[in-house]
Amino acid sequence: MNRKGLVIMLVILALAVMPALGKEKNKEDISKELITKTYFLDHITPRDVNRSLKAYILDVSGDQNSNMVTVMLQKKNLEVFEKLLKRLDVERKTIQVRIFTVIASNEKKGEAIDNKDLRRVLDELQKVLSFKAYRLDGASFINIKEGGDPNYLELISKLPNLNLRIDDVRIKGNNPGERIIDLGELRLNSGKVRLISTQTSLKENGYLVAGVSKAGHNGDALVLVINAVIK
Amino acid sequence: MKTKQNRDDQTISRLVQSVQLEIPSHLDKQVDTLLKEKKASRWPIRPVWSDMRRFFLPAAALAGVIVLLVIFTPLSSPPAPQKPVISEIRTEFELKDKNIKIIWFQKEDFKLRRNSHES
Repeated sequence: MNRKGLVIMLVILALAVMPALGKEKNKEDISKELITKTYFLDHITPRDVNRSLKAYILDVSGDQNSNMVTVMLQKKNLEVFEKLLKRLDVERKTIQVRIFTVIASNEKKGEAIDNKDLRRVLDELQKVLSFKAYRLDGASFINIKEGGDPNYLELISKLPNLNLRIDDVRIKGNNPGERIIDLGELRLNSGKVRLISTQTSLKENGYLVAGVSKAGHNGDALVLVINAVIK
Repeated sequence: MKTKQNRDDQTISRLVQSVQLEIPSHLDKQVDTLLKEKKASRWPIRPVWSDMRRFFLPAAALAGVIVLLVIFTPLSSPPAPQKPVISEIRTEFELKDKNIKIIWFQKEDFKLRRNSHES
């Protein structure tokens, strides 16, 4: 092989190897820019971190029992990430929710209701709705965390399979007694039949009346009287 | 059997043919004029084919249009847009002084009811 041929072969070889070398260098650069850190959370779960700060996280793993989360992210985002995590990992308020299941009907006289708060609400309903009688069907209770996971509750009722889902709960305002509780999702199912699916809100210590017509026989309606107290 | 009338006809014909008389010219002209008038007043008679040709081209064009319509018109016409169906009516109002918020879901049967004490 003459000298000219040897030079051509060396050039071809160099061209073939160069991109691979470049990629290796690129990988090294990227790995230098990444950081993996582990955090022990106080008030929120690894799922909350992943859900809220997903845009910064390249990889995530977590343990629910120790409430620990490990994240991989770019070094340049670390400061912002930790600042946001600090803001996120604060004590969440607990909201006590009472749910009275009431049947409203036009047929017969209602039963006497002992709970005076509920009676007051139903007296007001009597003035604005056309039902003749209200009967308490059951009362349920649930504690929900602000911004926590979805809350599921099978309501105490004579109606079969009444399932309530409350999700995306936020508290608006800072003044006790004047705060608004936002319910991102309030969903009531009777078995597979969806009776209510809505987004709504209620004042703390106030009452939310959620009614569904045609839920029973003879034009009966199902009424949920929901009361929420922030603890 | 020859009837008497036939015999007379033949006799008259023979007698007429045997006489060579000149037809008066005014009579000849009159006959010509009458024949011309009669010809002019007659409805023009055309051959049947001429009529057929007159109608053949428009009929063929019409048939062509119909065939094209049949070919290019889809067999099933597109479904008429469905009227929107209301499955639920949501009403929301607040009794502010009582701290009560009401949301009501009316399902399917949207008959309005009146309070019995109102009627």
